Amino acid sequence: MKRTGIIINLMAFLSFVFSYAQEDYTKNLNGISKVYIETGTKVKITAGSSNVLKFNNIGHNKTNNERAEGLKAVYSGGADNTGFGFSMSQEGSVLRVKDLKSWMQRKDLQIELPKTIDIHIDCGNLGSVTFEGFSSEIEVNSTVGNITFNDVTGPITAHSETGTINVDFVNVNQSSPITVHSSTGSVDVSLPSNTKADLELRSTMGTVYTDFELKTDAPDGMKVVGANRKIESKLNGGGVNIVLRSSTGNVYLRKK
Amino acid sequence: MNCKDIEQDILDFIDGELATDKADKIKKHIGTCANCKAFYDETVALFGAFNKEEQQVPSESLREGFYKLLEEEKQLLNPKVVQFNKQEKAFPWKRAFQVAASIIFLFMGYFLGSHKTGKDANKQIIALQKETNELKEGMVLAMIENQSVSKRIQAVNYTEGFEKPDVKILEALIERMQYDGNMNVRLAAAEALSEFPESIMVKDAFIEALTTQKSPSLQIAIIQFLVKIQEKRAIAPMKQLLEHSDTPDFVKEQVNDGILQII
Repeated sequence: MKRTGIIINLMAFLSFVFSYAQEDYTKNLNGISKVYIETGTKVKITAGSSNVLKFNNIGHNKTNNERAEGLKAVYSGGADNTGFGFSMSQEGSVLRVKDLKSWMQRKDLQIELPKTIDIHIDCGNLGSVTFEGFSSEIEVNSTVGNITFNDVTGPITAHSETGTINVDFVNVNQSSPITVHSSTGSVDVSLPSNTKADLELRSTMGTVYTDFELKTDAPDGMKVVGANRKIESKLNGGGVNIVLRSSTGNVYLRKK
Repeated sequence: MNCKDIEQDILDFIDGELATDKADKIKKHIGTCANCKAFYDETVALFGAFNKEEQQVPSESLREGFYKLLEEEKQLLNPKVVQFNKQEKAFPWKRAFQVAASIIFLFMGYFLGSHKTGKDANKQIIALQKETNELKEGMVLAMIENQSVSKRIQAVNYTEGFEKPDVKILEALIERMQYDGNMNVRLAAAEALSEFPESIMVKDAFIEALTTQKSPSLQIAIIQFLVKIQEKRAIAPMKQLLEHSDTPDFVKEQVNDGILQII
């Protein structure tokens, strides 16, 4: 009897926790073509099918403080207009989403966005980001966090000071240039073997590795000035500009 | 004198062409030797017969017959001769000249035409190039402040083909290198600008950027450019970089390397 009571209590507690954890936040994105996100934590952004912005499992982030009953949280970065510690504002067709909580309070943020919406994200000092399945333009800046792209098409502009950047292209959008750059981290990019591109690979103090057959046509007798070693090559007859570079890290270009 | 000698000299003796003493000896021998006498008589008789024989002259009718025959033969050959003449005519010099002249005219026309159109086409190509350059400049200026980072990079990349970019373009690029919010755009702009090392504006901008830019990648790109153009004025700000505590070690390495190369 005592045991069943414990079990029932445990189940009630679990369902309570679960219901909180399951809580999502959604915002309609009608008339919005680009989302600017500012956050300092680890973020996973996945492509969804509906035209909404959705924070998955945001429940446990909700302000849950008895003492704060009847009070409102205020933040230095702006006004919380979502109830989850985010400031959202719309400027024309751009939605700005600002995470007001510090990375200490916010863990594992999961965001779902339409597959075709343009995304710009600043990862702050310690934030890192993973993208899944986007066919839109993505811009990322991070300081120490890693940046990972899975099943994307570009255009991509990614920069990290010390983080590693991994990009796995499902195919390559030819409309505008792709730039992946890490100052001291590695750059690791996988391209489909039939990708048409004008490649520019550069690692100032590291090494460039690839399993593509690159035809580099450096003229004979060209003097290597400093450590400015640039590898330029056309893939499958040439196409969109793809620039992969690292100052002190290695550059890896893989064929799929 | 024997009979053999007589035989040899007998013809000269008959013709009287022998010396008198030799002729006397032969006369004497013939008087004594019956054989030689007989040989002498025979020879005299033979020559006498030769002299007596009248020369045969062919008759007039033979000559006439021969010419007649010749004429007939000529008549027979005549058509063939005409045919030969025709064959010689088969190489028609006049026509050959006409054909050659027409071919020459054709080629002359072709070369003249192609030369002229080539000139025109060149002019058109130059005009088009100018137009596309202008168009590109316009595009650069229109796109360089685009909201999309990738588009801004594309705009910066468009300047690659310019030989002598407009001051406006250079100003726009310098602004991107100094103040763009995105690191990658700043870097792309720095790279695009390093294609124009002759411009004093660009040199000044790089020297200024060396003191203001904090990103290590950009610092390296700037240092590499200034080292490449051997800019002496860059040494002072480069030494300043060495003294800064927040300059990463690998940038300092590049600075040291660069200073050595400039001097």
